[in-house]
Amino acid sequence: MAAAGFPRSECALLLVALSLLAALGSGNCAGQMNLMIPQNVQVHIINTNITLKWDWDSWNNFTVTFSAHYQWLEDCEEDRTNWTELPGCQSVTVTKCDLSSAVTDYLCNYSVRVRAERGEEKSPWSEPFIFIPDIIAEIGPPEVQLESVDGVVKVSISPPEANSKEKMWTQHSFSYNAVIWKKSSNAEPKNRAIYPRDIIDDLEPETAYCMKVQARLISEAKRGYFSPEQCINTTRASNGLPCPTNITVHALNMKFLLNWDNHYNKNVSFNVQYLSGFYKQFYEDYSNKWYIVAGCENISHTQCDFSSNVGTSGNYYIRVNATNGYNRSCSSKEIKVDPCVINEIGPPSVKVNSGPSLLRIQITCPGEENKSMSECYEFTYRIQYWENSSKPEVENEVVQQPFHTISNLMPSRAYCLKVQAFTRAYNKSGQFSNVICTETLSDQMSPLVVLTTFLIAVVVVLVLAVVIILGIYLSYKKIKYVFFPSCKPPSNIESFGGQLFSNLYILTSEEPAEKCCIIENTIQEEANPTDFKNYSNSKQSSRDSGNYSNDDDTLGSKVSEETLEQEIV
Amino acid sequence: MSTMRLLHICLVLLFSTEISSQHCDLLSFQQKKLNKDSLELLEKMGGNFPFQCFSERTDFKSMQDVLKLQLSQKENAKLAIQNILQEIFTVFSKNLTQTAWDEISIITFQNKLHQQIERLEACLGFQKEKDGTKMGSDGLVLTKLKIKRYFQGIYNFLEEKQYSLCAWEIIRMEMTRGFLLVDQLTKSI
Repeated sequence: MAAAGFPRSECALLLVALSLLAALGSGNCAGQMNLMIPQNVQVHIINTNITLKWDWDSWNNFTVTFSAHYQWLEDCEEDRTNWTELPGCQSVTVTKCDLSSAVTDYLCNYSVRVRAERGEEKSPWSEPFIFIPDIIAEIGPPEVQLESVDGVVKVSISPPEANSKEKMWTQHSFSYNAVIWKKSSNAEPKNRAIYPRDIIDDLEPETAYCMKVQARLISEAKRGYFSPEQCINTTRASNGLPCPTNITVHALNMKFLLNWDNHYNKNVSFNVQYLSGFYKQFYEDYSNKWYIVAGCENISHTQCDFSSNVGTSGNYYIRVNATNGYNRSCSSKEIKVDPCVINEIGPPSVKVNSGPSLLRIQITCPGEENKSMSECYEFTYRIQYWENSSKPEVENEVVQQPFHTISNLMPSRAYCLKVQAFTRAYNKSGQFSNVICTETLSDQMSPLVVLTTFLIAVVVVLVLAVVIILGIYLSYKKIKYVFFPSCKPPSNIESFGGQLFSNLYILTSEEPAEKCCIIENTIQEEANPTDFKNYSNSKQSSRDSGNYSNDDDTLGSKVSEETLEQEIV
Repeated sequence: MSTMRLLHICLVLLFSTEISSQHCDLLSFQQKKLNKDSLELLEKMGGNFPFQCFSERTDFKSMQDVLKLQLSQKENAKLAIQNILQEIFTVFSKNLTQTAWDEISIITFQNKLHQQIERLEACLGFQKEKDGTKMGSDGLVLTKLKIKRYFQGIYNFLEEKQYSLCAWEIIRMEMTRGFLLVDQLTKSI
């Protein structure tokens, strides 16, 4: 055994054997080694300071050193997946060493192991400790500076690792939590969220306060170490112009109004400033990013419309200060404006039409003229309606669409209703519209109305049908008269067939006009005594027949004579 | 007595879900709006991609390739979005002096981004406290690391190119793609 060659007392031998037994337990190495394996190997990371630690029972008091190896897991850097000596962690005499220079990729998976060494003797490797620096890293304390000015405390926080080149954390991603307490009291310390450059203005004057601050990464559920406690005495408010007070914001339908109190005896003018909210995330000085609200510079009244300076998303901060000649007051409390959240929703405009046992409602969403309202909210409408009686029971209906019909109402009763818009997303209810009362139409009227409508419809249909039939009949008659006349051409003409028509033009041109006149005259002479009414007919007939008569004068007169005779009969 | 206690517990549970909905229910609606606004603002702040930057070389993979995220769970998607937005916010907080981009658009963009980051944090933070869990599942850790690694590439690229105009133009284009990815993620929150 290795222990046998070791020149020490029997007592020491026993101790080694015992410690081996106790430490290894499993005993798979106990046969060859008498050096214990370093236990409880761990890596602690604060910001980018990475420390490897392990436990070693020093009671056996042997002079041992330790060495550590590491390897990359996965494919972070392929050429270093073998166990490599950790620089700075070779033959160290303490039970920790610094890994900061070796571990440089904080997103990689590392594995480290440690062993004890004494001369040529080496303990087996410890169980490897596997870690991803980014995941196990803890957030160091921020640096905090306090300044007591005009009764308030100004806080400046430098984030953890602000000045180091290597960075573990995404910049500008910290939130801060401050713990504040009165120095000489047993009052419970108060937690509050704080920005890197913040003003604590709710402290008592001339009192000592202490605070400590920790950085947080909320999305990673990490809370950092607290900064050292710092104490500061608050002062009295300044003797100059006091800050404007009682600052309030009223916003209705995205019209934003800031109001404040004028408690100054002197003639003062006010300036209203706004800041885009994201600057609050920065620890760098952003005091020049406060801009004056257009139209609210050097004003004497105590109201300012800053609607034009805030969009529908993004937070804004608003503050006021007063000036009197060259004296400038401190700035008021800053008010955070989250436009869609702070805004109140006005009443919608409502139109109601009554029908039999029902009400038709047309809703126009509040602030319709203001585009930003619809950018903020998707409205739903709550309609409250009740019968206008001594014991009204209020009914509710929730609708998405701006057109809605309330049915199943009693006929010929007065109903009242009011409507409010609300947004589920923001859990915001708007103001109710004015109450509108209207009477539903009588239900009993309705069969009569239906009957009347039916009868009118029937009459209209009948009239139309008659007109159409008449139209068709007349057209038919006309067509028949023109194309299929009842008077038949004489058989001798019919016998000409196609020849007649082919010769028509030449024959007409050859025909002297006088001959026609002669035919007509003869007909007129004969027709006149009978009936003047038939004159037109006879004229027409004679003209028609005139075509036929082109061939022969006598034929034409014959035809006209025949038609005349027929008509007279 | 026990019935009363049960009732009490039920009420508390009911109330707590009510609170949680206040923190988180808005998110999807607001996120969609942010995605749309951001794409518009990214376009507006610098206009078209400048011709002289076409030859600029990039050696980082596009976000879509790097972040092949499989985020079935709502919380994972929220966390991924929060991480991405936080990184984009940091990117645009860096030295922009060589860009000559429209400053109002940049400020508006940053402001909207920051507000949504705070909202996401409020929702995530609340849920953590409610669940009493830490960043847990392996998938979540992997997602977070992928996002960080991708943006590490972006920061390195900008630094290497000394925040030049063309480097920024490439990043602006890249961030546009980023918002398209965020928009996909938004569907699952």
